[in-house]
Amino acid sequence: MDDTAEHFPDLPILDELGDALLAAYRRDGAGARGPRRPALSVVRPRSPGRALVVAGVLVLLIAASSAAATLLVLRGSPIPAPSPRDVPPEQTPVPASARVAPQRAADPGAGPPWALRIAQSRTGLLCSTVGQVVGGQFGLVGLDRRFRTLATGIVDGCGQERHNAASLVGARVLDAHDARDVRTVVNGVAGPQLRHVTLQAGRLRRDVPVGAGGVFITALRGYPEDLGIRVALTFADGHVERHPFGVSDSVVPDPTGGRAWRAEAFQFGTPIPVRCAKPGPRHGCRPAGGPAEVCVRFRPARMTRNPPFSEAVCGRFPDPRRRTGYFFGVRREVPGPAFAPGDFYAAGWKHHPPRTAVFGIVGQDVTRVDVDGPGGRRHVVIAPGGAFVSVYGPDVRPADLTVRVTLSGGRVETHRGDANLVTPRRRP
Amino acid sequence: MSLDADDISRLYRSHARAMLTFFARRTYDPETAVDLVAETFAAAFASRHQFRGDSDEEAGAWVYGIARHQLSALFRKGQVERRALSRLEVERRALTDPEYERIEQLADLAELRNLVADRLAELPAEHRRIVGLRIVEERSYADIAAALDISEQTARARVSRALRALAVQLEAAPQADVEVTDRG
Repeated sequence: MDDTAEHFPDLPILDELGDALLAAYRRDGAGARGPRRPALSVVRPRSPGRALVVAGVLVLLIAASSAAATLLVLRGSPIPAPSPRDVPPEQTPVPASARVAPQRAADPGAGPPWALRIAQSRTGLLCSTVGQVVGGQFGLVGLDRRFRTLATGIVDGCGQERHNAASLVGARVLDAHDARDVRTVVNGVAGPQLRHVTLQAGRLRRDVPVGAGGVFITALRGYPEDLGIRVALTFADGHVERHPFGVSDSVVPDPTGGRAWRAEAFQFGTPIPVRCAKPGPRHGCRPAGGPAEVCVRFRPARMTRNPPFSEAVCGRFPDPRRRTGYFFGVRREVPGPAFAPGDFYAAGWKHHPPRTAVFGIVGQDVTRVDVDGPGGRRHVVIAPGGAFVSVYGPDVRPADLTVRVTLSGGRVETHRGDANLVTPRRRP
Repeated sequence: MSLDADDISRLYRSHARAMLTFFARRTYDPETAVDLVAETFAAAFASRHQFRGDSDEEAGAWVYGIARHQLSALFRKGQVERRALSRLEVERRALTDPEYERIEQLADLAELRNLVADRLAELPAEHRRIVGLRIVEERSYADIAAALDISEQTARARVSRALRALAVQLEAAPQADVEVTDRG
């Protein structure tokens, strides 16, 4: 989508959003990071005198967790399908084609068993929907503990049917206020040549039964990134498909089985300092040279309201266009205030149990990072962009850890405690 | 076929308008609908390597699967997840009044709004008043409690009862645009 074309003349916001997304895609693909700004949606308050008062009621109901809110949002039972005019034919199932596969997956708690409904879309694609079965009916138990059937027009996704490969495979996450009620339902349709499905999640290893047509389904308690799910599909001819869910170089598991973590890098100002003859782009702006200050903190991998976050540590790379070198901090975060007024870099650990972590950013000349501590040597995975974090439990102190940084050429630099940090420039 | 940035952008150009309408009709809120479109395509870019189709048609089906997931997350959590957008560091401005009204028009929200307004008028006076204090005047529960000379806990309970009564009224209303086929 080029920057000058207008594709939505009646909705400029869509054009602007498309341009912003494309610019971000290209920036992300090049490995560069722009200045970090709070990811907030700026909503202009509207006059309560408008007829949108009524819409406000509905928004509140959507946001509330009461039974009334759920009832209104889901508009009763059965949970209705979207209007056909809102969904393309590729995603619209033919009602008569829908059938609930006989496989059942036990719920990790006391909930009804999980099942997969298969259908064909109007254009011949294979579609599936994850749900639960109660009294022979297919639906979902909501957060209000009420079971609602799912109309046949509701699908999770559709894909081209294949006979010796996965047509559909995914991990459906059903969120909840209480972490014990969160479910990840791994499911798929992989054709009659599918022979075995093996799932690994941390120490858990499970052989998932395969039904007719290569249908499989299994349910886990928790979020994919906390579990670190890897699924292997083995076919009759011996080939294996591997599908990870919630596994990423950017996500690290919690040492005590809690929520997964990630490092979050940010910087203020332009990534490459510039001097401009005039304001705006392409007006005689040239790189000004000099180092760029980058900071990093660690926090839960999943975005939630009011998460705990660590103190931010900062460093400088001499050439921001080609980062070399590294910096990191070693911190033990303990329960404390939600935030420190006026200090953006301070921790906001709130009531989370203590954690000790090594976290920072490495440049292109760093080939490996290892941490020696209780339990032995741990190899640290470095995320794209160079950020990393290694998290330890509440019994580990910073003094227990030694960090080994291996550089290209083979030289190893060893540190106990922080390395190459700078005092961050305070924001005005 | 693997997807790159330009492919995702082409998908956006093809599907953004219809997806915006889809979201607006399910959330009743244009701002939330735009947020969901943005998060859907940000998430599509983040997971582009997982796409295993061979055609534009399959790519469209795939991105709608992501859209449905975003909608489910909204219903469960009560807010739009902005994880993918946050990672891409994308922000957007607020809608202008013409844009807001255009999205409402596309999603035919006026009809729904009239329905809700009618049902509000049918509520008992006490329910109507407390919904007005909470929604129209955006008063805190502490303020409502002081205004009605009741405890804050009682104020919360009365607002909840009033909204439940409204929800019951709406559920009883004819819903001509809803497909209520079921196959147990």
